[in-house]
Amino acid sequence: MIAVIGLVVGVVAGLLLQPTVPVELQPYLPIAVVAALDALFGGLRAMLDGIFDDRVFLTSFLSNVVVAALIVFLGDQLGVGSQLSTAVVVVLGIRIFSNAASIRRHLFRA
Amino acid sequence: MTTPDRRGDAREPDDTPVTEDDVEAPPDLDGAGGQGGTPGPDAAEAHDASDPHDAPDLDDAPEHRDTAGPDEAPGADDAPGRGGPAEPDEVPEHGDPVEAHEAPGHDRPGERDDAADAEHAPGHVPEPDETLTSDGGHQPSGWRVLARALRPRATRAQLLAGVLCAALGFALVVQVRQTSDADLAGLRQADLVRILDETTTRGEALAREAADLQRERDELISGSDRRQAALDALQRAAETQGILTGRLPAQGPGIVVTLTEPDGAITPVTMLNLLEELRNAGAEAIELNGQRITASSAFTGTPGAVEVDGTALSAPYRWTAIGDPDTMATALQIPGGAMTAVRSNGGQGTIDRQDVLEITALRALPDPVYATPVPPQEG
Repeated sequence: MIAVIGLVVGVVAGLLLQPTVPVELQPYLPIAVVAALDALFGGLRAMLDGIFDDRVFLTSFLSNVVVAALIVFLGDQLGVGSQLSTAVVVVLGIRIFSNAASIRRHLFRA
Repeated sequence: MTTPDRRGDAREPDDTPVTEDDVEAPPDLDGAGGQGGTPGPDAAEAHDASDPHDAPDLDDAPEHRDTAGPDEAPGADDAPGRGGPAEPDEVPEHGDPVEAHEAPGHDRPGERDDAADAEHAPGHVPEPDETLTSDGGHQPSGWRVLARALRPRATRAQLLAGVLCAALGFALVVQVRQTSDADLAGLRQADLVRILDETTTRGEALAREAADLQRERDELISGSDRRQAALDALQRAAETQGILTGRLPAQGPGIVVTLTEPDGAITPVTMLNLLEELRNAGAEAIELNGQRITASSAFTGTPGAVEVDGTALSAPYRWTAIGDPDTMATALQIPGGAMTAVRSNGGQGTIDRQDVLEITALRALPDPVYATPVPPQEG
């Protein structure tokens, strides 16, 4: 519940504050958001699995974001930034799908 | 953890369910281990069971599972959320029932974590109920787990999840707004080139239009300048005409001629001669006894009773003429001229040069009825 409230609070804060993303961060924010979504789904699945652990959740959340941004940054330096960010999005998308499938199996038994 | 007493208290009810759960532990571990990872997870669970009330136990648990992970490659991949060990995607058919059993087993550590946090010992109470229900043969549904997770509790895990979700929501909204704002960044190269072309063409057209407008503006300005010059010329002409025709008062240097009739009478012809002499000498504005003398002025009457434009005059006659004083004075005094005629009529005259004279008498001119200006010839 607190997580849902936190999500709502974050959305509202983003709508109200309307911050502008610094130019240096613009390529990394979308990837970081996708990575955070992946961590969120992973955490939800772990909670349904009953093995949720806040420390692991925090670590995976932060490391996912950092690693994803790092990969994109590295790709930018190597000149393959767009391709590498596509790869990251694909991988994270696959993981989100598999986690969502597991969650669905827990909730709907199908 | 800092309050071992309370933790010890909390442990007491734990003990019995845990032992009950221990019976269910083996299938749970089978589910976690995927295929036959019995030794590894067993060790982990044994650790849980042997040391179930140690708070760090839960934190240690993932490491144990990770060590058990190498048994299965996919499990090791799933770092986040520890969904890895279960990895039901690989074995969906086995996964469902196993997970059903597995849920309560793992829920218990979760509850234990809450109790270990010692935020509220009462939160511990429902636990036996859940174990009872799970023991009662009902599969603990995912919805129940979800509902219990959604129950607001001020635990560290919930607060952490709340903070992280807030960060995620914030970043999500910011990115969405960013994307909707900077739509050019998401376009393909071909589209960008097309847009650039369109923009360039549009810019050129606008530049041409701006040049046209600039030229038109310059023309209008110069036209208004010419118009102003024409207006000024007309103004000056009107002033000149006004002075010459007696419509406007005038001032300037000139002479004042005063004629008296000590013994005799000045004839109208003498007055006319004097007027013409003044005109010849360049008089520009002339006034006689308060009457403006213009081109249409006429002297009538008889000697001693001169009329000008139908108005009777009486001596002394006072001429006021604006022009070159020396020229006019000399012209009047030439032998056999106007002053000579005045004297021959028995009158006397004095000429007084003045630097500033003012003629205020006006004459209203009727508008011409028959004559109209000739339209100006173009070219």
